[in-house]
Amino acid sequence: MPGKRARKSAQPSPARAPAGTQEPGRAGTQHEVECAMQLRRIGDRLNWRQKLLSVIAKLFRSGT
Amino acid sequence: MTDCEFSYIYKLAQDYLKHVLQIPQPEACPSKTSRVLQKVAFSVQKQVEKNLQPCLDHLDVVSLDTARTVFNQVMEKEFEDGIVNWGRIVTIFAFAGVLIKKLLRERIAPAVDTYKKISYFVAEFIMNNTAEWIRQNGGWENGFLKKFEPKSGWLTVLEVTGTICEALLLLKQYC
Repeated sequence: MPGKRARKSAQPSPARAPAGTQEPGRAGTQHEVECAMQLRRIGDRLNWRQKLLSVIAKLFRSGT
Repeated sequence: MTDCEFSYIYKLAQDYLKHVLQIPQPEACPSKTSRVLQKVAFSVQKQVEKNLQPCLDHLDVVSLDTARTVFNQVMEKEFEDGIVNWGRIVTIFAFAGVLIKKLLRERIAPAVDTYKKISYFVAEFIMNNTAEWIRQNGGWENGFLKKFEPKSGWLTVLEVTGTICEALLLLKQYC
């Protein structure tokens, strides 16, 4: 039918495991990846905050 | 013992996990670095537990071996972009704290020295993946401590204000 695309999701993908399952040799499940991404975000935010505080501390010290 | 050696990081991890489990440490008072790390990592851990609860519920941590596998997989993924910073290093300890609590809740036969075994693989990961960066960035005493030790009164006020603003922004996102 013209104008109608085949749905990609209709084809089963053997490379993708269902959420929460573990294939031997794979680098982690969906939940582990999600955990890692959140940890990365939290770590980067904490690092940025401390950097900002250090800059402010330096400004305070040079101002006094 | 220099602050980039395995034994130093192993001790930091042990001190932190003992703090999480509220095991008294009467024999030797933890170092200043250790105390600052405990404070920062514990607040990160609370944030992780709150934000990642649905995800953490799906992680299967029933033995020390599964804890090690989950830890290594999550950490490898977190650091796979090649970026290392002190904030991310703190999350390593926070995640170890999350895992030990989960493990002690879920495993069938809890062991007394679980925290030592978890500390071992935490130190192993840090040594293998971030030790060089830590050394180049002043080590724990001149790098981490200088950056994270409590600042003066004015800065504490600023810090608190910043945290409140951050919380308000998050609230705004969800409302």
